[in-house]
Amino acid sequence: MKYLRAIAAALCVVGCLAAHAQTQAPPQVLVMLRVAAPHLRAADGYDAGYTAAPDETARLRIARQLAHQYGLQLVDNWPMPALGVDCFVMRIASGQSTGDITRALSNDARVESAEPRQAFHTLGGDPLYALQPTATRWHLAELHALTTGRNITVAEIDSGVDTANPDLTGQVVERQNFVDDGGYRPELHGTEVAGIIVAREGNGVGIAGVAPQARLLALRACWQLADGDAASACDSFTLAKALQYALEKRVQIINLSLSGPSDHLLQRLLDVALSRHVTVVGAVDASVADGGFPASYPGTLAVAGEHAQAHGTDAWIAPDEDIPTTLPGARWNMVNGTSFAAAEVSGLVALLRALSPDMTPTTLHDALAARTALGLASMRPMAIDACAAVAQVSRRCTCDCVTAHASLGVPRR
Amino acid sequence: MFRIVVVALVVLFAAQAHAQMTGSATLASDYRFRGTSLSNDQPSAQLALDYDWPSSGWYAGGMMASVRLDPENAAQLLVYGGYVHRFSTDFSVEGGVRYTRFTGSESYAYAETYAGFAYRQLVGRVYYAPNYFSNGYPVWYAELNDSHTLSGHWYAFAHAGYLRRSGDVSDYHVSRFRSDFQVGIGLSLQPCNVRLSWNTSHGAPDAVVGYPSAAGATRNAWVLSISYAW
Repeated sequence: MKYLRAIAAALCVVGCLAAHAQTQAPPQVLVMLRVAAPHLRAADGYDAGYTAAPDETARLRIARQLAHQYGLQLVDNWPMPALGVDCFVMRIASGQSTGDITRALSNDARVESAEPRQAFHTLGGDPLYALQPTATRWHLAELHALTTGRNITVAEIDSGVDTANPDLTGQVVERQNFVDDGGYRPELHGTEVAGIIVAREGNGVGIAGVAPQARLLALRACWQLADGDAASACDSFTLAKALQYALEKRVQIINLSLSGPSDHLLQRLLDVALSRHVTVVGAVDASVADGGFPASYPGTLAVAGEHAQAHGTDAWIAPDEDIPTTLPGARWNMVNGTSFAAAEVSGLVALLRALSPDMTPTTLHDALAARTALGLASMRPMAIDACAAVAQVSRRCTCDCVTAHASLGVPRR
Repeated sequence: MFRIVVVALVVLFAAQAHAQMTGSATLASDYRFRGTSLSNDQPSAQLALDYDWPSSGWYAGGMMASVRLDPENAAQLLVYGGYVHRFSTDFSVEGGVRYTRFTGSESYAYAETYAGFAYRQLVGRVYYAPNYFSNGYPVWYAELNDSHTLSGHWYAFAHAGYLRRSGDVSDYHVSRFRSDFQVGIGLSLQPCNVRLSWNTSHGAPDAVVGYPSAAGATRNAWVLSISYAW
């Protein structure tokens, strides 16, 4: 069934491309005219107002003059206050060169800028995107309209990451090996976790990471035990080296999709990280009563899977089954487990911190608990509502505005 | 002073032929200025011209208006020039000078400087006139203006102003302070604009502030105005 959905999604993409190929945009040029910042006018204090400032008539008149002078037809206009301009659309007569008209307009002192009106088409997207639990449950595409994790650095302390996968090419800013003196090795688990966090979006292959514009540090502190098996081992020394390096690099998020016994050295390093407001995300080990270390360590964002067995930790819940992600090489596959639920939450935290870089752990906790703010906060573990979290931090409408803001009390925008 | 400003405006116009020029004509049921009527509660016609040089931030303009002072029919001539700097999409600051005089037996000429800010639709300014309406004493005036788009072409606006007259007012035995307020709604149908507002003032009477308004002019008034821009 899932493969049928993937095929249907691919067919839809092909169909959309074909439809756009048939669209032929008329030759038009976009002409931008500057808008003065609000200021006193002759009649101010007498009988005028800013909402109905009359100066747009001046720009409309200039646009008409330009159209007449260059033999164009004024067909539309739209204010773009974010750029401080009004944009006028002008149709180019047959026989005129779009390039010549654009250059002439650009050199006109009355014009802020001019450019041809160009046709765009949607790209292939990520064929497996529709299968991602975060695509449907977290409304990932809608979240990405507001935040993509830009300028947030995530340290993935795991086994090696293969950047040869097209979804990871260019997504990893640095790879370091803390396992041995040998070279960095691409491995399964690290590559799978990396894809969930930062896989390239809209590149026509594979998946979209939760935070596709975050910067990933792939710190290899674990090693794969057997070919073809993602099971990997680490030790406190390799992990400590990797944590130390992450602290040196001033990362904002550390993803630890691993578990083991409590360790003093690692606890001290985590204390430093937490004191710097680094978000430490740890995967809950469902086979251990307390969820295992570091998930059980106070201050760590412990993440459990939806289908994990009940446990006593104050864990956050994220999708953990049938998650498509990257494999070494140009391959993808479905994975299951809390490692990947933690990776999803690391990506989500990157989205939130991109919106509010200086957010405190308390603010982050409140955002993740946004959906449970109406009397359900005592329930543990807590399922994360990514839309509500982003809405709370961004103070903007996300996903289904009505649903998101019914629990937030945020004005719909 | 008036000649200097006019010459400066001519130089500015000549310096850049591609300024954005806006003209507007207004008919108002009353000419309310800082809470007083400069038209003796009678209708007024106004003609305004604004020039913008958006790439540089400079602006200038002028206005003519029919007034009724002392109480004789007269005309007001006003010119202004200033500079505005946009710090962000939402925030800008400005400063400039405005000069006003009237025809008739008394010119009541005066100049004032101003500085202000605009944050989205909220506009605040402080004005200082060293010889307000040629009365020989300085006046400070501060104002806040706000407007919000309602549905369609409708919008609402509000204004609050606070004036302080310097100098000796002991002979009047009244306050040297005066406040004025305006609230209203507007209908913007470019290039036309219709506004209806309620205007009121409190505090020092017109004579204390030096306004040449006719005796008996009201403090409260509804004002309807229609403007046409080109």
